[in-house]
Amino acid sequence: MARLRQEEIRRLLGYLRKRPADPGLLAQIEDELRSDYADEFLREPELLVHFPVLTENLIVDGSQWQLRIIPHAHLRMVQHGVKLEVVSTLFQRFVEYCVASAEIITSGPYTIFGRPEPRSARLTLRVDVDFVTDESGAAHVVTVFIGRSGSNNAIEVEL
Amino acid sequence: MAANVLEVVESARHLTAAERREVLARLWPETSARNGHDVWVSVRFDGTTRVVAYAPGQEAHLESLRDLLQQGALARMEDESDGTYEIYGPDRTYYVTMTPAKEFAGLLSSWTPDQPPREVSIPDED
Repeated sequence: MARLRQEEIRRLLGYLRKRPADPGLLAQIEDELRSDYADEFLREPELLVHFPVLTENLIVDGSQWQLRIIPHAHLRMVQHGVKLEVVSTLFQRFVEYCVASAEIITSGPYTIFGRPEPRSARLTLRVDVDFVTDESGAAHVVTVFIGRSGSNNAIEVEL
Repeated sequence: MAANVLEVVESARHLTAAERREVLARLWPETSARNGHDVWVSVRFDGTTRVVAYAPGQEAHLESLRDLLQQGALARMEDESDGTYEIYGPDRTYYVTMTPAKEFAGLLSSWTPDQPPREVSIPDED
């Protein structure tokens, strides 16, 4: 169990207040977010319905890519203040780096480490490349998760 | 026995970090240890285990993940606050967000041990 940091609570509530929601439900969520068990609450499926899938289309080096950011990753992005442009930029740099180093991107899981911008915090993108083809002109489809956000150095654990 | 361990260690030197974890996790399935920033723990769910698929295409692996968590397995914690772990089963590795105290796991991704995630470090821009 662990409490969230104030800025994490503020970001999550700020996001949720912009969405149409029952005020009573919002108050319940706020209570949970401020509780000692907030980190566990963030993993519960019922919270994820408020964080829909985000889709981002990119063209990198002539190829189309479609990033699908699942609700869990969307929630983590809001919590840690990671913007969609940051995820998109890091993924674009990953593709450009692979092209420059003649590494072929194939279907399967990837873990991408990098700084989206100079001197910014390191971010770990974990992605599943679901579909890759250059034959039909269809987009390469990538499911995106967020690994380490760089905002948390704590590694103590109690199970 | 010692020769076997030496062979494994020597072979592991030539693997990527992700490949090494796939091998070593299966050699020591019962442990709790810290190696640098890695925290390894044994997890075992005894009661009402809840597992859900948080990513498309992972529904097919829910039953095997549930069985694995109830049998007990070695897990590597990636991030404490996000509760993200890699759980190493005999035939598949599962990337989850998990609350062990509530015996809950949300399955994000999974792969076979011979095809772990490829790790790419993007150099910093000048």
